[in-house]
Amino acid sequence: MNHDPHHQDPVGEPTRGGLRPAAPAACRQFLSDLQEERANDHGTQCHSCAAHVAFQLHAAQLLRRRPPVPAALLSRQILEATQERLVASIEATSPLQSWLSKPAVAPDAAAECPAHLLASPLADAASNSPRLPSAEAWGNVRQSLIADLTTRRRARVRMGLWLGAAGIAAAALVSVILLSPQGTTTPHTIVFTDLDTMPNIEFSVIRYGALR
Amino acid sequence: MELLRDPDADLVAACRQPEAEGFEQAFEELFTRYRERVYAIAFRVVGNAVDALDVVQESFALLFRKLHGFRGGSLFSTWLFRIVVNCSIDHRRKRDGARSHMRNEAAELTDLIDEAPTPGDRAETRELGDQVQEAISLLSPKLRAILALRYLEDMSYDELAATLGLSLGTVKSRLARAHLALETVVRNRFPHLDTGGNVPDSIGDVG
Repeated sequence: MNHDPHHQDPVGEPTRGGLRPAAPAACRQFLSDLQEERANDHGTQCHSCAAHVAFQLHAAQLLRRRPPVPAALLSRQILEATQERLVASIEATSPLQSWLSKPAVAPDAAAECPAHLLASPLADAASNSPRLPSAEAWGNVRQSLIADLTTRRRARVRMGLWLGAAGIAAAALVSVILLSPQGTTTPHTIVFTDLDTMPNIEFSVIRYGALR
Repeated sequence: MELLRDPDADLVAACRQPEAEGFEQAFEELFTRYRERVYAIAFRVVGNAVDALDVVQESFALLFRKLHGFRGGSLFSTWLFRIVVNCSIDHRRKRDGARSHMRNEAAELTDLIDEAPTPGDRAETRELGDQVQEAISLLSPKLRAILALRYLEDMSYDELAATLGLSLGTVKSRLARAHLALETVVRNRFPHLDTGGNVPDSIGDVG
């Protein structure tokens, strides 16, 4: 790096306070123009400023070199690891998650729920007791229930009558069947006769052949 | 005035609906699209591959957690790079604060890292890159970050201001300080990286 021995470095090592106050105005203006990308031929006259420009040009080339990409970055693993980290961060910090992880059957579960989870109108409506209906509404409900019960009772009675009638009819039918005569009611008369002449009655032959 | 549409707008919109079918694909697409750029910035700030990979994961995890807060007032990439810079600086501070703890975490990540060079990663390039990185690592994290964004992402002053949340004047001042600090480090520690006093004819393309 060529430095003009008679010329103080306008920038030198940066300090917390900025540039050294002794920097010549022309050099400060040149560096300002450099930042603004404005033309300034001071750089062709001042070796120190020219060196800064030269360094910046060279440094820009070096800084534009991208670091080599590790194979891990292109693998599927890192995407999955990112997704896992996303899930983990949500699980670690989500108020909903912490609430869900508590036992679900708590008598005062609503009281344990974080307030902001109940901030929605729906949650508010669900967690607050509804207004009691008016006496008239209750009366209507009562009448409706009574009417429903009456209808059901009538239906049950009707059904009972039908079932009773059917039962009686069935019993009568069974009785008729059971009590009806099985065969003839008149006593049989046994008549011994010669089959040479047909008797003038209904008969059945129980023995056919010569008498012993 | 014509407003430019953010090229990532559709993916960002899909990533805002975790219950939708396209969420996972959009997540992966955004990750794939930006992972190398994010890694490069993180690497410049934290100084090594293990920590840079950790910052990549942390940045994207944070990104998807905070995506509902992104209002589209800037490009998605601008917003992403701000997260990356903040994550990188935080990571560096934590590491400096608890070196032994970070060594353990680094050991856990070792199996994710393949130190074998990629096809385009030739030895001499790597050596020069290592030296440049070593020089940059001697700067403060904020100076490293602004140099990384300026040269790796070719950001203008306005873009730097939007990304870092700084005024234009502060951007210029910080960038000037970064150049001067790097020049001092290189002169003192890495003289072979210096230009040898080759004076340019013009200053038109100086960063």
